[in-house]
Amino acid sequence: MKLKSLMDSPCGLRWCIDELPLASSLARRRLLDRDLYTYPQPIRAAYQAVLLYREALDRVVKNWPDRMHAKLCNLKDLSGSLERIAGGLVLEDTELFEIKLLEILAREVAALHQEAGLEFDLPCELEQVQRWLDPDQTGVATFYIYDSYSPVLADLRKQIRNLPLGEERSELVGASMLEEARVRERLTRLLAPAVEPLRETLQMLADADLNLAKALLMVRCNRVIPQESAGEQVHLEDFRHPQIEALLSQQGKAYQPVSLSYGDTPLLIIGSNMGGKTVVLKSLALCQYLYQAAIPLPVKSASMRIFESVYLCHGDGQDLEAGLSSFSSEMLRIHAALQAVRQGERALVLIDEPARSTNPIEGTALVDALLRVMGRLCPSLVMTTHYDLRSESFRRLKVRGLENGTMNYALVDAPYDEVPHEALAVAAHLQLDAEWIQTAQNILNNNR
Amino acid sequence: MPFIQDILACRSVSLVGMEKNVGKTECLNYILRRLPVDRKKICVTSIGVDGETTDRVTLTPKPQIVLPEGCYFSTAERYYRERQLVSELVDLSRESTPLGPVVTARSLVAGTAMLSGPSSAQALQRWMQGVSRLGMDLMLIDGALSRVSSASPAVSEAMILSTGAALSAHLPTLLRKTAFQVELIRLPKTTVDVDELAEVSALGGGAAEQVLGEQPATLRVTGALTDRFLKRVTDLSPKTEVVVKDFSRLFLTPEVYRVFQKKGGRITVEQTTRLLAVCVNPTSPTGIRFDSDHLCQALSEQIGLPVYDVVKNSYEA
Repeated sequence: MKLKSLMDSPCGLRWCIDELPLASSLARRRLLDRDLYTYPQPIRAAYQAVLLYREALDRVVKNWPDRMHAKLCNLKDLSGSLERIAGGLVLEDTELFEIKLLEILAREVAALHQEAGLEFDLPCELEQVQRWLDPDQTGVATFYIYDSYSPVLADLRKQIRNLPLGEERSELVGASMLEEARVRERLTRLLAPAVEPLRETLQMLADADLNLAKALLMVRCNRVIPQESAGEQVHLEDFRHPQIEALLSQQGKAYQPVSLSYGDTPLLIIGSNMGGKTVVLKSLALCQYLYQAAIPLPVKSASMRIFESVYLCHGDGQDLEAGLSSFSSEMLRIHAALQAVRQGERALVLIDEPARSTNPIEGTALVDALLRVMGRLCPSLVMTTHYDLRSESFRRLKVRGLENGTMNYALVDAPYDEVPHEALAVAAHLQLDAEWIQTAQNILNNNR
Repeated sequence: MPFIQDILACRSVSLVGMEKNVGKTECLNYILRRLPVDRKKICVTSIGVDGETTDRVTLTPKPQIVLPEGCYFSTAERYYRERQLVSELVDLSRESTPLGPVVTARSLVAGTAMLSGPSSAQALQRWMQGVSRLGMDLMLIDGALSRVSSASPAVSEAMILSTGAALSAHLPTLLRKTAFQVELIRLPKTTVDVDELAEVSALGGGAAEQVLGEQPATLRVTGALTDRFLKRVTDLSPKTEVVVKDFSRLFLTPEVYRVFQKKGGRITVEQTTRLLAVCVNPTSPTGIRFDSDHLCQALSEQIGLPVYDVVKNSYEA
């Protein structure tokens, strides 16, 4: 699955991708067009490359990242021109100029890598490209069909220069344009064997941009490269949701990181309203996507494993286009996840308060049944609920909840007693209409 | 020729024609011939299409833009391919036009080329920032009166106005229209602290009533100032000072403006425009021909500025 197809996931992936300090649109496009990694080896290799840049950031002078960024801002995707060469078409001056600029850029970026003690071995064919596109070896970043490509052209231009505007001059200009076209054809043919090395160079530059951006994210935003999990269990130590963290930071508030292990036993999270259960599920989905895109994680430490897919089922919103209510669209999403795990898909299934929009008797039955059925097929199930479920086939955690008027978002093991009854306390904390809350309290007291 | 020195004292100059075929390209060629392109980095572009050999509307022959050796120019890629000169590419911008991206090149052997660069004020500003990075000393923008935004002081430092027989075959009308345009270009700068003023949009409708009473007031109009709006201001509070960003925001006819003025109103600008010169073309494609000296003199008297016929009088720098 390509990253770009996940950008609108409610987990906040788009925000995290936009946060990457990339210099070029090519690097972003290549990142989004890439499939999520589904094997450990490429993730390991990709993180290793990021780590090299991260280590380099400790060695280099302060403005090195800015200089790299300024250079990589000039990276353009020349795939179209390279296709044209491969297809036997003749390039325009502007395209030849672009290739010359790419070659110059690659050398400059290579020099910056060398300065940082990083390997960046350009394809050797690039030297030949440089000789063809800078025949006078001026080293200047300009281009035209130089006189030295053709003595005929040089002679024609000499004559043109000495003539005033008029018929005779126009004829010579026409002849020189024909000769220029011949040179362009010859140059394009010469460049044909360099198409693959040029493609490789584009990829190297885009990778450099991406790896530097990931490394900068580690330094600037406190992101971490996770360990590989030895087994089925995933562990996130002090994970944060970066988007919410940024939002809170703008309001001068601190984000409370949370830790969690999951993946080997179905997990049920219960707890008070406003206890951050939904944020937990979104964070788990986000961390999983980031891991399988080899992007450093917003955690203190983590050990991760690969999933074939991630299902984030939440009850927010109706599917108006399909004419579905919030209940039916939620049920269909859960059904899709269930069918996938039935067929053996190793999926991370995250379900947020299922069946919350129906009556509590049927809702409890539906959720209890879901936990039994899905939990049997999918140990990597994490579900949140307010329903009182008593089965022992899953691990139960709860949000610590309101403590002295402050919400403690930490997740702790929950004993098999009643689900927390904290809705009224939270409502009171929100300073809602006093009569309303008091009447609710009276009803509860009478029922007991 | 005094205005060449004035041009060289600026970072950016816009050429605006009051009508097609008023000699803007001749004026540009005249300037390009006289600018020291061998010593200064000078780049020229157009916000429309300039340098065609034939006028697309009147099908009459047009002068081509001659780019001297050493002169930089920016044009759409398609026109770059059709250039009749030897030039080296120095920059490929991300600014795109329907004719491809805008490229910047330096003329190595003088010749002609069609120019069609960035077409909006914002794109033009980006272009100027881009070519400034190439170390340009001066940027010349071939503009059009239908899009005076290029001459806005927010974009270019100074402007040159071209007018001529193509604007009107009736000399008094030609003089009156040109003088009115010059009057608008030279509107005085407001002395009021504009940040203190309530902002009103001429297109918003109704907002002026809230600001204006019977007492004289000052009104800051964001965006365009139109006849309709000025008429309303005249009716509501005739002695108002209307402040606009710059002259390029004015879309007024002389009749409405004169009534407003007579009733005690005045228009001022936040940013003034430096009008370096007014150039005239005494002939039109339809065969109208005024006496050049008489036209220059009559217009000069009316606007209080020197007026030049750069074709007839090949002024020396």
